[in-house]
Amino acid sequence: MSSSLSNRPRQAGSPQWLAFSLGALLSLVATELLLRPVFREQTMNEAGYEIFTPGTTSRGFLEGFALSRWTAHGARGSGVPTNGVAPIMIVGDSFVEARQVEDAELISARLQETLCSNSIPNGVISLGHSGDSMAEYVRDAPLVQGWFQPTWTVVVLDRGDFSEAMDPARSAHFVQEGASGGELVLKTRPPHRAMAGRLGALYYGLLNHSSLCKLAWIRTHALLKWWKTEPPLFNASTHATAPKGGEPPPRPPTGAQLQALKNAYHGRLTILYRSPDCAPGARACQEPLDLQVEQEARALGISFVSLADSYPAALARGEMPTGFPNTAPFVGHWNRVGHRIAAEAVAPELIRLHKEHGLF
Amino acid sequence: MVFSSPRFLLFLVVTLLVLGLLPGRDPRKRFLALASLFFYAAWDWRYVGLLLLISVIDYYTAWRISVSESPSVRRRWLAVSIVSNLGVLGYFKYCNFFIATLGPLLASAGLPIPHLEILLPAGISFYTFKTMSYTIDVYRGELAPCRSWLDYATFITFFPELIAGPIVRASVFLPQLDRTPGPTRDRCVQGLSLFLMGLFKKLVIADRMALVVDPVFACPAVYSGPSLWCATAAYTLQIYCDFSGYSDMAIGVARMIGYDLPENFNMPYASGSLTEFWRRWHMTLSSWLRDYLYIPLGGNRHGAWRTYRNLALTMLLGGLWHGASWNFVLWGGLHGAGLAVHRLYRERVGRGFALPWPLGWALTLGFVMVAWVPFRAGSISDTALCLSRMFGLAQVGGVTFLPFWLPVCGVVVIAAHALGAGLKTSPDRGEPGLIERGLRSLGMAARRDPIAGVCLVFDRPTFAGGVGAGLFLLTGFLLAATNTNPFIYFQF
Repeated sequence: MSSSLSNRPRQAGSPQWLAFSLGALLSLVATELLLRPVFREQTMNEAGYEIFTPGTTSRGFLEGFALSRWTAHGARGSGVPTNGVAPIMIVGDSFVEARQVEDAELISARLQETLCSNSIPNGVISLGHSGDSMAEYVRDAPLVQGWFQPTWTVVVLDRGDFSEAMDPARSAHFVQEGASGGELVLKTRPPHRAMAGRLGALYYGLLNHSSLCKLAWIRTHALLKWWKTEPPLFNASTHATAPKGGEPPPRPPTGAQLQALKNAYHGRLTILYRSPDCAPGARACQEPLDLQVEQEARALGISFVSLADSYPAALARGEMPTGFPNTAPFVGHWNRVGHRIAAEAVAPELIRLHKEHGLF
Repeated sequence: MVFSSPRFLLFLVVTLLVLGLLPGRDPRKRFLALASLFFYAAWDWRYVGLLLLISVIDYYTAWRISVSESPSVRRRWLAVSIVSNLGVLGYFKYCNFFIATLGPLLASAGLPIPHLEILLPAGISFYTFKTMSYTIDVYRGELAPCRSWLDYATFITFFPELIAGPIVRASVFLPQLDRTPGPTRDRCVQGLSLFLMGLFKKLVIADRMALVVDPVFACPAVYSGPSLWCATAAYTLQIYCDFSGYSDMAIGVARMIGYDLPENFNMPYASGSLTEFWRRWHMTLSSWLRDYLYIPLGGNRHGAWRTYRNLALTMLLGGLWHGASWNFVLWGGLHGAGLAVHRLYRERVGRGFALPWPLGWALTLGFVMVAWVPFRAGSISDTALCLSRMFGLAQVGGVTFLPFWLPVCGVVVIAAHALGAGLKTSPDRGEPGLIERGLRSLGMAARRDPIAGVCLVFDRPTFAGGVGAGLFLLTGFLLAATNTNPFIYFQF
């Protein structure tokens, strides 16, 4: 053993601590530069909602490593097609925002290829916004239809969208007036107004101009969420083994929400339903709510496509529709396979609509 | 309370503050015992009584052993201690295992036994081994019995190592109770350095690897051979970083409080043979098994075949100690067989011909990796499925998932092993070597401790140290997995 092994820390003076602090500062700068490709600039659109600034790009880091390009109104990819044909628009949450895959691998790009090869010239736009659910799709419908003038809209939904849409904490949510079965009313609040002014400028300044701040913001949220999952004090074992008791949550009024969605898009929509998820094992089975949604959508005359059969088929082929090398298998958002499978599932329905009804 | 939770950090800060403010050793000991009981009760208050009961039984039996002159009486009291400890362990840990194993036989004989709803008390495997070693040491005359029950209870309930070790011997811990100065600035800095390193291993490497390992081993039939190899390699990293990370944190916390705990891992994946691996992996358990099981069975004193039998038996029981499942028995059996084969090779076949280190290392690591499959798989049938796909014996196909972080984490662990090996094998030339000079520029120093071995600690602030510390903390913050994973060894 070397004699240089010490047993006591040495006493340090202020100059040494100053040097240490400068070193730590340098590490911050180096990390910022290293994370620069992950830079994500966000801004508010004219309605006051946060979107990626048109003309910017961002590099995925936490889930996949894809480069995504943002165009007008926070649309993803190459933007509005300029061939004079009204586009098809895909609306959804982070699955459609899809920062995890390259522009060419998006459901919209895949769908456009398939439609084009079937002599349907319409371009396809991805307009996803992370965290949105049914109430936001209804609220934003006039706005986005005004922007893009789509001939048809594909709305990507899952079972969680219906209950999230009833959450009064969200800036857009439904309220059922009167008793169960009463009329469904959309309630909205002006979003992000609290962040206006100097505070808002500082907030956007920090998050838009420092990748480190942006990621620190994301990580802090994730860590806080994780810490909240700690079991109760003195009772951890009972908590872990206790069956989930209590009343089951009330079933959201899916029929009324679907009707609101149909009205918002003037009946010119297809629902692409992605529940149940694609994980192997017990989770890959349909719940009563999924069957109810499908039945109600069909009863309302809404074109409906489910991925319930596409996922198991992909699994049988050895394909994994969600999960990335830097995360885990079968979790999170669609990867390139997932986008391709979704496009393959919805394309025949759009082609059928086109052939049977000449919709586009 | 998991070491990586904010609740534990708050508990630690309060404990350190109170210990620092209390005058004298006795008040500090009393507070430490109370704090440890609170820590244990924070998981489940109902088992605090069991912990205290065990400590009373062993304190009393050891005292009776020490005051008796008659060998038969001493043996009887030793038997009382061992039967009590093994009885408690057997009831809580193995009862259902034996019911499940023998149930069909008994049912066919008209004696159906229902499955019992038993909750495994946290840390029971660790603290029963601690208490047994105490009474056995007193019986052997290697240790004087503890004069105060409070001291003994402080030893048994000492919170840093209560749940998952290191399994500290009474002969190592009890003398420290009468000489510890309590928390000091130097000890806090050293302990915090170790704690942060352990936290990094746990959150950044082990929990990130768990993201890959858990889904693959939950449903191995879905995955291809390469995916299963990746998951096995990931588990090899995960279990090392999880357990050695926990040990580092436990040793760090103990050091902050004023105590030294023994080293538990010494670069095990750098071992050139399986025998060497077991001298470096979970060292406190392997030395316990050696001293209280292998040597009493006869060790290597009664010929070659008895030695092989003793090795196999020790490892089988060591496997069963990890959990009540045939998978652990298989894992222990594989290691027992591996140790016997290595001994046979060393003494008979390869006499005068030692394998080159790289070949020995590769064979050892490969064997250890494959042996982790039964340890991690959910059942014997899953083990068979995984191994058959990994070795191409089953139908080809399934999902291929190649994790990005696996090679990155692998390189980090290999680099840490190389650094540790370099430090420990550097000759004493009077002049610091390359690694020591590098560490010194980072403001780090390798601290040599008679109990804890060699560990890296913060020595003095430097510019390069600031860069390194900043990058270390930022990497930990940005890459720490936020999936909730208790330490693997908590279940044992």
